[in-house]
Amino acid sequence: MEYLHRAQGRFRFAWPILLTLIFHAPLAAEPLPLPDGEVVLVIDGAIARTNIDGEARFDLAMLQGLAAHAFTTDTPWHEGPQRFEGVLLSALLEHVGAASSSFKAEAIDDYTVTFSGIDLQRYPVIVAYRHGGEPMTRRRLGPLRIVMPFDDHPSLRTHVGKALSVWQLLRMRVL
Amino acid sequence: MGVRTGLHVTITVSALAALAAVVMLLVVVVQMNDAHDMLERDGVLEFNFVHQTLHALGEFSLAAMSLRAASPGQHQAAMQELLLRYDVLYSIVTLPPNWASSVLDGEGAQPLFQRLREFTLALEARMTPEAAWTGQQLDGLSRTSLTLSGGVYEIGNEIFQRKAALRDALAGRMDVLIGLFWFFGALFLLAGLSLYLSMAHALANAARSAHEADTARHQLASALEALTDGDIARKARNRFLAAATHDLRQPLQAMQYYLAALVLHVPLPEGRELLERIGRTTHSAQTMLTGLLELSRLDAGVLVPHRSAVDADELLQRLVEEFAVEAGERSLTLARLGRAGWTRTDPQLLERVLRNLLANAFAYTERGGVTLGARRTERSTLLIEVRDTGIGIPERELETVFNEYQQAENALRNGAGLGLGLSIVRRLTRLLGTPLTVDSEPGRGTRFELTLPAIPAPAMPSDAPAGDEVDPSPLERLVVLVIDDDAGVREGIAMLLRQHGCQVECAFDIDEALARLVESELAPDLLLADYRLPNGRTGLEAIDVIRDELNDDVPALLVTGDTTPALLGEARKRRVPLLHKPIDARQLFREMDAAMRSRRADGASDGSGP
Repeated sequence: MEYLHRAQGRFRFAWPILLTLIFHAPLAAEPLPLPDGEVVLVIDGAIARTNIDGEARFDLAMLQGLAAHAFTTDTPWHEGPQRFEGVLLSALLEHVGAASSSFKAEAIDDYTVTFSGIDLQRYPVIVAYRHGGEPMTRRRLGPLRIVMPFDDHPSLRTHVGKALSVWQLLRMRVL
Repeated sequence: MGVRTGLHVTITVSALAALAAVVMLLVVVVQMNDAHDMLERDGVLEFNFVHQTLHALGEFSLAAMSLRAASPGQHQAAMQELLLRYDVLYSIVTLPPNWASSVLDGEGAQPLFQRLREFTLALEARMTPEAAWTGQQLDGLSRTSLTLSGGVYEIGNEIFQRKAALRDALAGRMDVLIGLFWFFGALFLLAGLSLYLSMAHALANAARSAHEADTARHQLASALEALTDGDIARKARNRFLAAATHDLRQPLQAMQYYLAALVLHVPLPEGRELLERIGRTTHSAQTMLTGLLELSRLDAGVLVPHRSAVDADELLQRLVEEFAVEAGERSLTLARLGRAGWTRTDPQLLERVLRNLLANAFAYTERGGVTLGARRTERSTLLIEVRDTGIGIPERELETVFNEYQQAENALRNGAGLGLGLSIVRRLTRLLGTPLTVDSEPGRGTRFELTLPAIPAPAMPSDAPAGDEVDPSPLERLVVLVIDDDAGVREGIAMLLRQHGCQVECAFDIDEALARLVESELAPDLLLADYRLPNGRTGLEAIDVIRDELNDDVPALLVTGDTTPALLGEARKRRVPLLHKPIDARQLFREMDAAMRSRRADGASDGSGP
């Protein structure tokens, strides 16, 4: 645990740039629909749109209802290029009326990392829900996973870029 | 030379230092790149992997223990937790093996990871919500995962210690590299600066050298120009002229007087012939000085032509007669061709032009002869030409032939003088506004041609002087006061004048002149004063003082060796006739006669006036 704190501290201070999104006022007023199926993602913190208990809870169908974005890239965790499909992180944050593009990400395996310092308007980072055309199980690092377009944007292929590629994503706390 | 060598060494050393610095900087950059690559591999992925594996094992162990202790009501939730933790563990161990092994490359890491993988995959079939687990089995799961967790912890520790050591080493190496980088960077800058300064210095040197060379070239060019323009010659002439007029005239003047006086005392023909030769020699010296003097006067611009109708035929005849003697002596022909008629010009100046041209023609002619021709054209012009069959003038010298001292090589040997003749001619013709042309063929001869206006013969003959002969007899009993600080000149004049019946009083300055007047109780009929007198006084002042003392405008003549334009101008203004040394006896008597005539004419007009 000590290593974790050291690492987080390092990333937080190494990448202190916060980017602010501009929100649409009408969107902010409108509440999110309620999830029908199993909740796979919870967004809380500085957000304008919620559905349950001040949180924005999503089932897979809700996420798949948002505009999809897909790309193929090599990653350090797989052999050969892989195709990922999901929702743009920028679109997701906008969807919940997030006050910033920085958030604390938590995973099923208790991995936590502060996501910041990446210009989401410039880099199409996605919250992927399909890998190789298939929905992802927990055993295959799913059901949700932050994926960076490393091949299209080699400048993302850094330690930070890799550390921010959170798999088994569970919760986002917008800062 | 020392400076140049030093500069050379500085430039070489600087260039070598800069080169060495660049090479070393390249080495340092390569080393830094290596270090950077090593750091690149020392990333957060290993950390995350080790940490997450450790965490997943711990959580799996905890979940197993929780399931064992769970009440039937809690069983399902505990079972779900166990499955979740298993899934996480599964997801880790099923990551591509080459990636894991590249991350966990430490000693013992591979076998441990292999065990972990086997442990996890062996459980796969039983990891369902429906599976029934005994307490013993769950204890086993928990224990095994804790054991593995301990192994992973050690591996992690080992990795981090290794990384720490690597980081320390890299940090040390980076320190050295950064130190080297600064050192060689500074060296490069210093060498560059030194090189720049040296280059600037060398450039400045080169520029200065170029400038000096340029200056030298210009000086040489202007010197050459001066040489070809005769500027140097002119300056030398001016200095020579000053010296010559100053130093040569006094003794020459005295000698002229003595010679004239001596003739009466030499009874033998041999002696007279000798005297004649001495006279000729003196005369030729006088001619040269006169030439110099004439040039000087022409340059001074004090000569104003007095034009009148001139019987050119009479003038040409006189000149032919004058030069006939020389032609006869040298067996050359002298012919006069054509009729000139009358022209309008300054007779004296025209005579001097022609005399100079004739003298020049004779000087350069060894065989054949000289022709003095005249003809009138329809456009009422008179052309007078002087033609010789002499050595001629090369075409390239036609332009410079009128320059002072310009003369043919062999002319000096012929004793033709200083080569002033043609330059005097040029000045005189310019003064007269008379075009002068020259054409020549080397070896065949030269032809000078003057263009003058032709006018009809006047009804009355011009009142030209009847002749040069001046009878000295009217000067008898004339009382002359001679003022000259040079005893030789003074006594020479005195002797000459006494022989011609004058009564002479001598004085060497103004005070003595006044004393003489009182002493002799004689009023002088004529004053003859040297211009330059002792104590900075002048002959003009002497004339003024004496006239004042006598209360009479006694005729006066000013004698001078000085040719400065200021003096000439002043004498001219004061209407005092100016005689330039050397003066020959005839000239002196002529001027004296003229002065006395004008005195008598004035007296007559005064007498007849109202």
